[in-house]
Amino acid sequence: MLSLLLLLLPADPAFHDDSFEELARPFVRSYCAACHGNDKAEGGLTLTGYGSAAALRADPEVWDYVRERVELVEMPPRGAALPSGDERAAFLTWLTRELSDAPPGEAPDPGRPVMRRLNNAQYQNAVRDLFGVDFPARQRFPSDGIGHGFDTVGEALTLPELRLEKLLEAAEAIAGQVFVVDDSDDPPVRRLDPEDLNGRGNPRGDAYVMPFGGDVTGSVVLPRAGRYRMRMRLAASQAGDEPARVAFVVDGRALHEVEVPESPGQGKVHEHELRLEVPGPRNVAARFLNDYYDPDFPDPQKRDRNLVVEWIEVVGPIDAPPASAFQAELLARYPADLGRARERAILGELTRRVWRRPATDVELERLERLPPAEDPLVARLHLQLTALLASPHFLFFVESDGSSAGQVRPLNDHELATRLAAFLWSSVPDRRLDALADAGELGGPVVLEALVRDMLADPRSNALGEDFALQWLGLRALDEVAPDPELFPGWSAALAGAMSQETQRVFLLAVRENRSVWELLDGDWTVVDGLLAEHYGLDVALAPGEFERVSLADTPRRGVLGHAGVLTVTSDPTRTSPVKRGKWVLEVLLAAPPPSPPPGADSLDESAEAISALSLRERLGNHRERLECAVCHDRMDPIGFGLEPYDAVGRLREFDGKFPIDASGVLPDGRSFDGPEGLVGVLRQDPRFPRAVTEKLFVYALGRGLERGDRRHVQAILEPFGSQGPGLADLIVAIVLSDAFRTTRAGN
Amino acid sequence: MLRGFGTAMALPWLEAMASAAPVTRLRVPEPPPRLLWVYVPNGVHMQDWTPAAEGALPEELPWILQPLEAHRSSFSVLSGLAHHHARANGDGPGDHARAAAVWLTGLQPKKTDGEVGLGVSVDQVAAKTLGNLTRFKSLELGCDAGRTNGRCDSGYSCAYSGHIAWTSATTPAAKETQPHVVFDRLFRGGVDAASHAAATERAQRRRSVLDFVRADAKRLDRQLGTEDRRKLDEYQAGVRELERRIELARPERVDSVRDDARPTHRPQDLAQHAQLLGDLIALAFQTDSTRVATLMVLNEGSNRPYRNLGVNEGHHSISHHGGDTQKHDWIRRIDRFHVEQFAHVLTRLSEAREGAERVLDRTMVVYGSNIADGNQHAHHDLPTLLAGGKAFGIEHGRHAVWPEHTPLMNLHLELCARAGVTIDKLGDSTGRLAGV
Repeated sequence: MLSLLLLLLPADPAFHDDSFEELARPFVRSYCAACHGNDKAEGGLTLTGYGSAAALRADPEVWDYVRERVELVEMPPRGAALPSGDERAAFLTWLTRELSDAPPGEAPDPGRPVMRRLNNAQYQNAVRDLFGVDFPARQRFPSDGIGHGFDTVGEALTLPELRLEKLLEAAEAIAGQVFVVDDSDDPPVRRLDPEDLNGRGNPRGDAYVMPFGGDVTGSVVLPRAGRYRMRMRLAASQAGDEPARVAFVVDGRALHEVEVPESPGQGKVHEHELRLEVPGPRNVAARFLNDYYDPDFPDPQKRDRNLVVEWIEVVGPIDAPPASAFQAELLARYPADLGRARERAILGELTRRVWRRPATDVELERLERLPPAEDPLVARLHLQLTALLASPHFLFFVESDGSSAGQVRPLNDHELATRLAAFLWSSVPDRRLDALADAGELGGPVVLEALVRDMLADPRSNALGEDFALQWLGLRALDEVAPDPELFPGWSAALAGAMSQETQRVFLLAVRENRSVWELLDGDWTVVDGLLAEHYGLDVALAPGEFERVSLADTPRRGVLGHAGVLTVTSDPTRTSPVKRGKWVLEVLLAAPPPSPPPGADSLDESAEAISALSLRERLGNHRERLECAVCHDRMDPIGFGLEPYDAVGRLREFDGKFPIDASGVLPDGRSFDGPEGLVGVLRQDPRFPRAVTEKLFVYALGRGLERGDRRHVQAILEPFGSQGPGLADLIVAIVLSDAFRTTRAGN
Repeated sequence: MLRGFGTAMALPWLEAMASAAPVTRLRVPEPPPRLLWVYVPNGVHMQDWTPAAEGALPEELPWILQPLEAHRSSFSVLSGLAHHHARANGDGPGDHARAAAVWLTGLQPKKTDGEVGLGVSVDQVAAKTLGNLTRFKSLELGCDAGRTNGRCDSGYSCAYSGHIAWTSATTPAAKETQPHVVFDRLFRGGVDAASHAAATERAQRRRSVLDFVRADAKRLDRQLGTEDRRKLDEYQAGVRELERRIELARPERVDSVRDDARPTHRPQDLAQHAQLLGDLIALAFQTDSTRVATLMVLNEGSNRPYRNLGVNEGHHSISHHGGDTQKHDWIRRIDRFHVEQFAHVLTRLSEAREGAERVLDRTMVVYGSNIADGNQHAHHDLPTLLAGGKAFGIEHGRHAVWPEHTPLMNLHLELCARAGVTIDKLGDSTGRLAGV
């Protein structure tokens, strides 16, 4: 209702149109109108004739496009009258503000993330943090859909049938590890009949006949470590002067030996109890130890000793299973004399934790009715937890309080706690967050800021490195790249892993030490292990897998553009790709992706003749001669040239084949540089970098793509930090405190 | 290679018919028809693919197709078919994403990096009918997992280049990649069902859990807006499918498939991986665990090198060959290598018997890519093979040519019709393909 009234009231015209007259109109008149005026609409674009800010806001597509060109310093073009840097900046700030969709002065629309599903990382971490159970969700589940570069985006996180099947299986398996049901009084029996057995003999009717020495083997799957009873019903055609002898064998090892004097048809059961430590598929066998064959033995009935195996069984576990630590701790807190009320209390706590909000009485009653009443408590909890974990209330981040469509409201504390844990930990709230939310103490900015800083200090925030930094920088592709082993014999999965670690660890240190966002670009330090140190030619004594911070002051390596992982994923298997590297910088570091190549764009001439005659730079130069290519390649290629001193796996080099490296570049706006340090120096001036980092974090945190109104959020987050840019922890705090993070708009 | 093949000789569809029958709306010819689609990325070197003349296949098969020599009388080469919506049609670059997305849907995908928009694919339409009686409505397999890296093709969501099967406009059917996991799912009732007893007990528990969460979802549904409800729709569809499987009451363990058929190791290389997945499809058909399958050998735009073939550059990179003869040679070697894996699948399907018939004769198989020449990103005259399905009157050993730009969807519709599933229109189909 309120918002409707506001729409009907005229906005305060004086404020806007003053700034329009003073700032926007003169800028357009001086710098745009010559080509985009009424007389001459270059590119079909007329920018004069807008009489007010409102008129301009009514044409958002046009002015968005203008904003982008002006910001990229593509417009006005070289040779025309150019605005000063300050003029450009002032115009852009004004335009950005006008183009965001809320009227100035009003709280901007927080946007509406589509309901998010826990992604694989969040699921795995949630189960670890809730129950102390390691469940390899990333291996067991299909990979997550990715939207806007991240696997946290609700609209891309689909839930196909196959995934639900796996989620249900996971719920069963996890509940089974959390509430361990003692079924040792009626242990499961796994029987292997003759047709299940393998060996050098044959199944004949109701027995497996083994005419040679050796194993009669079958396979069983064991649920856990524990005591088992192995049983075999055996007989033998007797021959020679001793009875048949047989060993109980597990995974090739003989554990126990028996004599089998019984004749076929009078088989007898032999038993052996054993402890097995490793669950999973195991091979069990009857090993025939004393095969005997003597065609000359006087008694023709005693010439051939053959083993007869009727069946093999594995029974168990026959010992009571150990309770999980979670189960023991939980049950100990509720005295056993409470009776039915005890289960209700336990269930209440469990549901609160798993569903990330207090349960209603109706929900608890439904849960109580779920298992058979006669089942013991642990068995009941087992089934109830299975249902809790398979429920949409666990699997989705539900943000809904029944508000009518379109209404903006602050998140409640439970929803806020959930967003926080998902953003900073890729997990779910812990007991402390739960307690704060239950007490309604989460919402205040002071509490929130302190909490965020605590959460960043917690090891669970390592997820920001693994999930945010790797996805932002595109380094999950390290699993997919395949540098040519002949050209790069040092390449290995271990080295790729070290590269990934380097970037994660640098990002996390920078966050935890609240280092300036710029240090990601120009930091003269990194984190390496022995493998990576050797790869970089650094003289430090570290073992593979032992990571430490090292100084790079004596090298040209600076920031993430010196990270081997980044340099590798932006290369082809056999060579560097200045184009890919340039594109990567624009897309990832500046959030200003170039358009895709036009149809029919030629790829590079890579014939053997061309490669031996021309350097890569020269071949790319030929490519840029075509105008439709030059528009974008003039932006991408020079950046890539600046990184040419790094080879396709990120090692420093002076030659590319026989050609000496030329690492100089000139950007479309005329600035020139030489080499990685020079390039970093240029990028260090670019205000798009801190904004790109903010936008990427914003998308990751909110789980939705950027919308037009979000420019204002991003600007509001960054503005207080001025030109020196925020520290990374400060930036994360500012995102959490922003309206976009703390409020939501109800869906339609 | 799966060992223990040929030991699974039950006639399971008869069991299904004889048992207190689950309700079915359809009369399935017996034994059942099956459909299989196999997709390869980045187009094909057409010069060594297309036979010179229409009619009977030439004495010497085109070089890429030579691994299929033994199956000469069980397959045909189909030329002239096209996919209009794989073209830009105003959407700009992104031919690889479109190629995969359109192959079985015939629809123009929505160009987006967030929520996808496409449509149900033909295999999933067929599965809705043919899958009613089997434990698995359909099977979706591939050697590549979905991309974990956000950038796939020119602003198209990675969901497009990683899936050919779609259950709805917004839901790609997730595919499985690990052979031993597929085996356990198909024949052992999943990871934890060690025995029939355990599986039965679990089914009971599962039924009550599914009841519970279905009610949860229903309550939640009332609170949500449209977009969120779509997410919950996916959830509810999954619940219904799991319930269907329980109600079907067919054993989750298929003991006719013996333990020694279980692939225990991780595949060493692409050939072994593709072959293991092919073996599993044949076993799944033979045991009537499913009747519809798709095998996306690799994701579209795959850039993996083929070192075993002496190709150290990425497949996608070299598919933009620019007329370079070295690259032509690399591409055709890769194409032939893919066809070798397909030949293995056909071999398996023809070794598998049901009664006197080969499973292959009751399986209609389409193999192809939705790009012809990779350099041009052409989406007409697509490389397409049709194999099997003799029991449905499909004649083989020939090169059939249709007028240029005949929709490939018409072929899919024709095969579905022969399998007893009538689809009037799907995507840009203009009818059923005559002359198959």
